[in-house]
Amino acid sequence: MTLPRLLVVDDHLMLRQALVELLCQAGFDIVGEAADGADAVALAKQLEPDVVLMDLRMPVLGGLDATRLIKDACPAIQVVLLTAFDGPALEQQAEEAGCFAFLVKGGSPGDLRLALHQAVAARRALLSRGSPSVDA
Amino acid sequence: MTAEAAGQVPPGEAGFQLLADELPDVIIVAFDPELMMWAATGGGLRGHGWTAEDFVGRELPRIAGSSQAEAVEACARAALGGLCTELEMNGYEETRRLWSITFVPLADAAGVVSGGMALCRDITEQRRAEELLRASQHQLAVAQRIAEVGSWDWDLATDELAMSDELCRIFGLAPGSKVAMGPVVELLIHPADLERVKGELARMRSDPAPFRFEHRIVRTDGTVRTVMARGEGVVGEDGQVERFIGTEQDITERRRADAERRRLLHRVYEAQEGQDRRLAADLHDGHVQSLAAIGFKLEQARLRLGASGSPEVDELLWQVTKDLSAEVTSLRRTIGRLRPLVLVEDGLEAALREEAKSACNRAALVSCEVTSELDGRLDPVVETALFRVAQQALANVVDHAGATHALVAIECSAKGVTLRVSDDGCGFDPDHVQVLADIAHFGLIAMRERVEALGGRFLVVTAPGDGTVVEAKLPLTDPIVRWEP
Repeated sequence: MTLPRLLVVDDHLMLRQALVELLCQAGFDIVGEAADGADAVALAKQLEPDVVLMDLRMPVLGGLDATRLIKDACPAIQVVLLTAFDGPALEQQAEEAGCFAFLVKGGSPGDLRLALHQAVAARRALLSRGSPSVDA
Repeated sequence: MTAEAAGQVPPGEAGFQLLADELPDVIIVAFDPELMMWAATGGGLRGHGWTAEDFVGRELPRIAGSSQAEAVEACARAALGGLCTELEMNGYEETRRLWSITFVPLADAAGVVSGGMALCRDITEQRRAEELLRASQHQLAVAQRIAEVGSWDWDLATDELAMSDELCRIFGLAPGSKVAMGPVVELLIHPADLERVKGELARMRSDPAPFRFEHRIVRTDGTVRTVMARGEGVVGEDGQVERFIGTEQDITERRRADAERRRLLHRVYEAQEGQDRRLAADLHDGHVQSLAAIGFKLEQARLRLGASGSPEVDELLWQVTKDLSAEVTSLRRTIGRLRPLVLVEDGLEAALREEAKSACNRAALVSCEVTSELDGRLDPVVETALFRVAQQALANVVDHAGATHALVAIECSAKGVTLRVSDDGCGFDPDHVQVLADIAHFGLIAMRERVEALGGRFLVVTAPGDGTVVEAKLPLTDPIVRWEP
């Protein structure tokens, strides 16, 4: 079984680096990093990670819009939104955009790892079913 | 000229006595061609403690002091010449008293002037009353001018409008102008207020109830003023409204000051919101991210230590990560209060629903329902103001009310939007929160100022044990832009 492949997207360099190091340590393969939504969409299409760990508010293109574009282009790629904001309305928007999970920054790192593993499992389950709707 | 020609000849002594009886406050003396008084009568004699003997047999000019004797004689001689004259003079013995004396010719049976008559009336009290009235009228005029209040009296039958000088000045008319209500309304009422004022006047014709409404006028020089009209009807014996008496107060400067105050408050709130936005952005983009990153690094350190590390260090790192997580959560809540993202992106209703949910989580509320008639977004300034009022009102529900049910309602009309936050909690005695600290504590001043800064109305209805209703009504149009004097 290959390592879970992650694309980490956040415009805050220190946070992104901390995430990358932690998730490497936790057994994830960080296939790419992006600092805005537009780069995230391009890298997702190019690298086809299992999961995109996506920030919400970023320059150029926000996390929700980037998620929609990624899900349109590659439906099997799962997006886990990690944001400093929360609230039912935002959670609903994240769900509508196609996010697999919605997590807040400052939450438990264990919860983050769990959500990422679940997302990877969901992606791989979709791929193994060979659904025609998933990305080739 | 004969006295008859002057129409002043009394019909003999009987008539003279009758005249005296008819005029009880008058002293009447008759004098002959030598100006010798031969009769004196009238109720006025008794009133002053005099008798006829005090007059009869004396020369008429001697009823006056030396300085006025000449004038009296001249008038008496004029009467003998058939003329009627009048003279005002001070009393002889009581110089403070003022007398009015009318000299008339006295004719014999043939109609030939054979003497004269002096009708003396003590007008001291009348003059004093007239002076008091004049002083009072002057005082009223000065008070009206200082207060910029003019008064009017409208006769509904004739449509005649009697206006005080100050009202004429307010309207830009010449003092003492005589006009009818109809033309005044057409001439002076601001076109934008004309229909409303006409409606009020039509209502007044059948309803004498006290009224109070604000309107604008266009003065004859073209300047626009804002006035407050007040008044009430006078009902006749037949039950119909006969007249209306009222005032018009020039409140232009007050309205200007209100508008300026609102404008400044508005700027204060804008600045405050801007500052909150910047602070929220700084906290979000800097501190929250950095603290979250530190949390991830601590977790990374914990993972690296793994099984090789001591359980105590692992426990410590886990605890520090947990504490840090709690701090970040608290910081995120602060950011949410400073700049509610949901309000900015999804509007008032969504923001209120989140605030209501948050209130439920923080208090022992069974329910906190939100109802809304909103259809689309409002002006961001209005949305922010109403949200801040609701936020404070719900904070009061959570912290002070001990309520089980709360309701946040938004109602819309063509004129504006109303936010109402009500609860079934303990309520409070509004009189007791007149203490400044308490008012500030409940945020009532801040809520009221916030609403009034936008030209709205703020209301709190509460009583101990009866729950609390906080209501904010805001116009949909920006009153600062709309207002004109």
